[in-house]
Amino acid sequence: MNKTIAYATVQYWLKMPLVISGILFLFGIYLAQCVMSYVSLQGVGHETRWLELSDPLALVLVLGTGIIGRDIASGLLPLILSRPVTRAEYVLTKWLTLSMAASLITILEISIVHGWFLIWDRSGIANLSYLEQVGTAIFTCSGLAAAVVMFSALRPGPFAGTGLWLILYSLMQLMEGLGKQTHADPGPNADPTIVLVFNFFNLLRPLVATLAFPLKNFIANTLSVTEVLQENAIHWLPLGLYLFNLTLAVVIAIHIVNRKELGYGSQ
Amino acid sequence: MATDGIHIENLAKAYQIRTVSNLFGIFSAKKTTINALNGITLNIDPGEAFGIIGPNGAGKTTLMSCLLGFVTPDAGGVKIDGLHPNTIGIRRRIGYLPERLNFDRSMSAYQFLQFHHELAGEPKENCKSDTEKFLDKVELSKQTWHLAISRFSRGMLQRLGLAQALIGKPSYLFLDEPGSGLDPAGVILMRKILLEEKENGMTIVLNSHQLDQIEKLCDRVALIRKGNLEAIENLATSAPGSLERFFVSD
Repeated sequence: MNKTIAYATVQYWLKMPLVISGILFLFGIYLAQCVMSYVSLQGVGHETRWLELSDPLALVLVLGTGIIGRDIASGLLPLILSRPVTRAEYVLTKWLTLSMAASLITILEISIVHGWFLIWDRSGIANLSYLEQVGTAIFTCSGLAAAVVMFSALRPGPFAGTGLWLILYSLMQLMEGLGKQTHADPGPNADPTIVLVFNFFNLLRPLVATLAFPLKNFIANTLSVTEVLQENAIHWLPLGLYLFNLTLAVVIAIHIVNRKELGYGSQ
Repeated sequence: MATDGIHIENLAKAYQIRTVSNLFGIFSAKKTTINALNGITLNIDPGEAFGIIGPNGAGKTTLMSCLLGFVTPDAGGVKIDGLHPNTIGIRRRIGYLPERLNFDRSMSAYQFLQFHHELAGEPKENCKSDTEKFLDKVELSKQTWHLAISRFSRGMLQRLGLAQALIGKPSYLFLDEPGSGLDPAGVILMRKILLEEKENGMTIVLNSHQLDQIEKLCDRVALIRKGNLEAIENLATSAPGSLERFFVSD
């Protein structure tokens, strides 16, 4: 990891009002959600539910938008790469910086809420595993950051990578939703052509959903520590899948940046 | 540190450009190949100031990009001190001033040089003194040192770019249109600095349209047209105005 590039990336975030206001907004939303959830669920026996509300996806997107694409589009990257910095080191630094920044903010959110409940509602803290939450935050932020960095490397420009990510993510959600739909029925008196279309759709539906699942897991790679450590044993499948997706995203990002031509002629 | 100079062997690079001939551009998009470099071979000796000139679109910037390892050639190769330009060891020996200056404009000139000082892997204890030395060298007044780069004029940016390129005491300095945007005083200062560095043994590769600057600074000049190396002029022996004639005959 190149400390100079990491420091410059953090400095850039701190100077961007849009990034700062985005983080504060997400922070506020999360705290408000926690309070509302606490108020509405109090006494029902679901006191721990508010801590599951922390979703670092939006945070990673706010911080990661243009993390590499901006440098490529603005022409800053050739100047950085004229120094003794390899392209792989540059990509890894950007990924690690994004992962660490998003993890730290998420951990801060979780810690504030834990602290609050520790002070105000001692009964609610009994079943909470703070370390599990922190672990999940780190894994999730790192997984999401890898995909966001990969998309940012793929599409030069400040917003193009995140835009592409959002389109693909929405498409995967849609495909998954299609798979979950109940069997479509054209009705008893339907035209044979309509019946054929419906049958084709019903045949295709599970396939679409099956395809969507790994793709969605790849571009929104998350891991719950609670899931991995269920029943006092390590569940290797989710952990293995997570590590595979993360490694693949980082390797693809490095490959894209390695192959990128940075001359003005090539643009 | 052994300096072997720059060896360019049969360097070729083509770009494919998609041309669109109808509104939607789907059915009639054609790919056109543009040969930016057609098998260029030349050697640049250590300590030499070498100019690259040619009309717009001749392939000068592509050549510079290949020399710096930013662009992968289709054929041939570049060796600096016997190594590929992308080698970390070579990156420690080069300084680069790009044609289009792109900085994080929220940084100040001082922070920008500190950033490059750290990137170049120079000792931390020299950071302050080196930064101030180079800012002084390019004659940026002290009042501007802590101003955001976004408030700099084109000429000030060019001076800052030169200071950045000199950080790390490079053996090879690559300058792409260094004089553009500079006022006459700036041009004279830049020439003075470059001549000093040349006397100290630095190899300078200069891509410029300013023929007088090339003539006053360079030992040899490569004349490039449409990706082809038309000639290499030795300015010590060539007739006056030979560079101008190259452009007039275009």
